[in-house]
Amino acid sequence: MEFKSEYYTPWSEYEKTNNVSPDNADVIKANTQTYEEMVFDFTMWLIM
Amino acid sequence: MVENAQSKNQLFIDIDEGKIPKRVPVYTWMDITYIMQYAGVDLRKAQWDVDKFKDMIEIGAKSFQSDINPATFTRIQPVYNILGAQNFVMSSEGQIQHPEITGMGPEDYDEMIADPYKYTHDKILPRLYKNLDTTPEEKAKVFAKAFKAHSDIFGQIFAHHDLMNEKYGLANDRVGCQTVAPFDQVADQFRSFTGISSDIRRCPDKVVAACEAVTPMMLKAGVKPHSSRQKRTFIPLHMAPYMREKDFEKFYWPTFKALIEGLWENGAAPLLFVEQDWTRYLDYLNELPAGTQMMFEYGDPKVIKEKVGKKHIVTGLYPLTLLARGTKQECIDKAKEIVDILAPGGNYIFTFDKVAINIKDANPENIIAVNEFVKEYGVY
Repeated sequence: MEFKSEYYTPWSEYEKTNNVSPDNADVIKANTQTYEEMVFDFTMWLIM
Repeated sequence: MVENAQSKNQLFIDIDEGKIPKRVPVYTWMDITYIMQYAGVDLRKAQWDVDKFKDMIEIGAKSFQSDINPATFTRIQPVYNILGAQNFVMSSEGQIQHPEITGMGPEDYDEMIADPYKYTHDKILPRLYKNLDTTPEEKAKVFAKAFKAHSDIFGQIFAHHDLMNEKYGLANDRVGCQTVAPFDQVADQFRSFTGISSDIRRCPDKVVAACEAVTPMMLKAGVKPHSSRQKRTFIPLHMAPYMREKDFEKFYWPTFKALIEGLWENGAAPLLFVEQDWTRYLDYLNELPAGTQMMFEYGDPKVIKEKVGKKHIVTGLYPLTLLARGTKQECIDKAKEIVDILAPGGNYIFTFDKVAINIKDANPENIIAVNEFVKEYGVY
């Protein structure tokens, strides 16, 4: 049951699109994907 | 015996691990507006005042003899105001109310089913929040302001909760995030109660497809990095008691069950608010993975304990209305009756049957007396 949307960028897609270096992936994920998730959470709060 | 935060946390951990705790844990829920009224502040002003929120969290922590701080924030007026909310509106008394509103027309099922999250941004949000119904540039600006306000305000609320737990020796909050049953999501803020009631007759296949389409989104909403048995996913259940059982079986249950199973598979433990009377559906609830916490509003405690209480964690069933009108002794007698039925064998947390929102919902002195009684009487 995977969540997919044109308006949601999963980390795997972000990695590809932005040529994320595997050496720095952890720190980049922690400081970028977090905000994608926060926007998702805020959106859900607006409709609950 | 003086109890500290660690010993109070252990009461809940024991419940979550299927052990019998030292005593029945006491978990009172109050909307922050109840505490604002208890504190005697002007609700219409306090709903805007984030600094005042902190005072209210402290009053909640020290005043009501709950093992967990009862102060609960769900509706944040500054954010709703930035957005021009139509779905959450402040009343003249300062309570935030939820008028029935339709975010989605019946002609939009296919578009919503194709991509519920995109549809939410493109269509639902501008219908629920009038300040988002504008040009893309202005919409982005309003959304950014509201997002920032939401993030800042909840950041302060959570941090102050942690501080107050430490100061007053309370157990950690048991709710880590929230999601909604797929059918309730489609009904409540998308199609409305009236709209969905018509749709299940006029376009039943679309309703089934819509519930299936939103399920991955609702699952994602309910799983967080901090999810655990002690940081649960709160799910307020709404529509089922108003449905015929054959409609429940077809429209509500399959995706609700899939959601709950998906949460457990992803390390998230559900905390259901079983709103209204689910007596007809207790056998269904018993099919859910063991250890699901269920806060019942109505029903026969003996029947619920017998049918659900061996497998799941039962809470609720203490009538908040009695706390409003009963004498202290009547309230304590009722607590004894409920604890005598639900506590044996464990799997039980003492809560009232609903969240106190308005000061008229419950006499604070009765709440304190009952919680003190349960802590003393509910020793195993």
